[in-house]
Amino acid sequence: MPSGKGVATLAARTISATQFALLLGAGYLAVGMFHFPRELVAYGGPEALYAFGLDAAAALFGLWLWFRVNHLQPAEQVSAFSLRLLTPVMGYPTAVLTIALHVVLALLVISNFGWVMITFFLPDTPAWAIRDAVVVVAMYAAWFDTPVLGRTLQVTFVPAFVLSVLLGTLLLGRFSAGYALVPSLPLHPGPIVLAAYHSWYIFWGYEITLTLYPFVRREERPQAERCGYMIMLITIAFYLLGYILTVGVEGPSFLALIQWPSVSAMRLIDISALIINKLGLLVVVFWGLFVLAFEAVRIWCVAHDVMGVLGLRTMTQYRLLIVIFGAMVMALASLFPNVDAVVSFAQTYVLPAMVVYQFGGPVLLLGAAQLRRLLRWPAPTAT
Amino acid sequence: MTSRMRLAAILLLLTLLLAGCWDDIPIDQRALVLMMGVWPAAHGQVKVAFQIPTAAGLATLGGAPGGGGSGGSAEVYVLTATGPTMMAALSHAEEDSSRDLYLGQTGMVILSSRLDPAQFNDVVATLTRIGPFAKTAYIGTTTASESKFMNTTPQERRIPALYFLGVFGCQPCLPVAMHRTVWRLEHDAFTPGVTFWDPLITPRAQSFQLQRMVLYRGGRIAAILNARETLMMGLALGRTMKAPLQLPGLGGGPASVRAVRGVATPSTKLVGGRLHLAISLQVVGTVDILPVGQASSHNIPILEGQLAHVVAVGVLKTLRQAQSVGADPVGFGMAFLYHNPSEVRNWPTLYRRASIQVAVHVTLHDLGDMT
Repeated sequence: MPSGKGVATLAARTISATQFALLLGAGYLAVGMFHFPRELVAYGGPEALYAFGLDAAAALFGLWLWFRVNHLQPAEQVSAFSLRLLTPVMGYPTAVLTIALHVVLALLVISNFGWVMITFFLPDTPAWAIRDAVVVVAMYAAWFDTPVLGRTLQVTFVPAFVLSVLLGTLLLGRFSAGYALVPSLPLHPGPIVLAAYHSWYIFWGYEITLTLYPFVRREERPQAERCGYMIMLITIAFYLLGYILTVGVEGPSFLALIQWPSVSAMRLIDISALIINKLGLLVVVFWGLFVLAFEAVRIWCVAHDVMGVLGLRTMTQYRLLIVIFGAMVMALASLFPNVDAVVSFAQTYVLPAMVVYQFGGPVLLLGAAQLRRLLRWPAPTAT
Repeated sequence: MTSRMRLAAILLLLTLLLAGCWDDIPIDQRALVLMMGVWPAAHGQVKVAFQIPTAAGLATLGGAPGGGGSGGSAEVYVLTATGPTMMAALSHAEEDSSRDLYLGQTGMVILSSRLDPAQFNDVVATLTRIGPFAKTAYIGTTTASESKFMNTTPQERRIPALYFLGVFGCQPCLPVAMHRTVWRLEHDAFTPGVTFWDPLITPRAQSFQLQRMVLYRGGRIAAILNARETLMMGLALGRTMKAPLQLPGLGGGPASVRAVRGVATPSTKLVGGRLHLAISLQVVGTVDILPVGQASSHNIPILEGQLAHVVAVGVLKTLRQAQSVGADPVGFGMAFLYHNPSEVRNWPTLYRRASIQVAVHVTLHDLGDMT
């Protein structure tokens, strides 16, 4: 356990391969689990499954790309060494974009969760009270830095995940639209690409590996990559199961009209003889743990990226950054007047930015590294 | 677990638990709506009625024998309100009630058969929009008036878990699983290629009768099936559970089978611009009564053939009846239109002119003479 006092070195705050994978999964799962597969079905229609396959393949490829970037300087955060690799002229904008996207994603996820909670559970509670409560706990989870955050996720993330899958299978009894699970032929590339693009939000966030990777114990890094791919495959399977259950139960036409298809499906789980008859909705409350984990990981990422750029090293500075960015998320989240504003902002502005960042970022960094090798122009080493 | 992790766990738990206090309304300030119904009112308005248990009624809901509440007190009261829309009527009801109307425990929603299409669609839209409203509440249609329906209190209501099973568990209701949820109404209303069907619920002295099916089309009642047609449509929907059926028999008098149930697989095919609807039924039943001397395993195939014929003819006739009024409760069009979206506009014509084929495969069990 870190002391919380004085200077803590990077090496002293390392995590295992499993914790890396959990942090990685926590860094993107909460973005899409409430809305998926609305856009996929709305844009893809009978070809939605092909679009999902395209998204899954792109996510695995994207993760592979970011791991290649990590290999350039495994012990250093990308936000820090990109300043040297890309020169400050391009490095600073890249680092600022990285940090800004962390904040934006944290805003979107917590705002969306606030609307879910007041829609289904607490209609008279102000959304800020729900959001801020989660952000404060997330700040506390990130307060003791990487290993404690990793261990916290181990005890919360996995049970909530398993419970969701187990209870989700209870929906099989309400299955009525199996016809919608059979993809159509021949293929129409237009709807498939459009659906894949608009559903890409389910994989926003795996690029936190660029911040996370240096904290993995040196000897466990190859295993961490394997675990990273594994958690990505588990996430893909989780979403595929979610697709089958929500589309099979709600039908594609009605599903496309529902704001949160997965929540609407889970609230149909009704065990009348049990003391908790709306068991599915209880699970949705536990999904708050995914949101909590996501917010904690994002706040952690922002603090570490800023520290990397500014060359800060102490735990006090780290905690100060946590407070600053936590407060920023709490304040800015109230700017979204309703969930439609959240979705509209995400689809119109964040989606193209994330696509460019998630695929353009590694191409830019790997290209710059390759160029430096060709020109025999080594990047300055860390001081 | 260290003290810090314990503190984190406590904070997390408090976050989840304390957030609910903001919405806290004491139980004595809540009116728990058990049943809600919508009827047309004068001047194009709608009337919403709520069946709400009294304190005495809540005491008996615990299962106390003999009406364990204060003797002689009414167990429920009915609150009504009208408005130009259902949402407006709900607001008026909230104003008229001294307590908070809580719809999260509503177990049943009743639609009057006299609602016009605009009112019906308004009801669907409102039910879809009410946040805390349980989507798993049962839904039914009635021809009875609001006062007659809402004041009917079946015996089973004394046991909460069986309250609404009382509606769907009456002896004549058993052959077809008639329970429908609000969720299915919303699904069918927003899905092309299927029309909504609902059980017709008729109040009796201390019970509800439920053995007829209402077919809707475009928010209007297209047909009300009789008991036999309901049974046959139940087979086409795969919802017939334990139906008794009479067969011509083997010459010595009619035979009967019981516990007839089946699995239905609908399919569609567009050939040369003509739609062909087909439904494949896997029916299982049990030989019930045979004339004396004919209880032989050699006769089972003959009875299976007779049952297949009876089911095929009955189901075909009922499906054609639905087709003639433009109702598609089976949802032939759902899969077809999903994979052929360009045919949505042509669907009413295609469906009306479609051929229907019913294939029945029967397995009869003979359990012998049980007496």
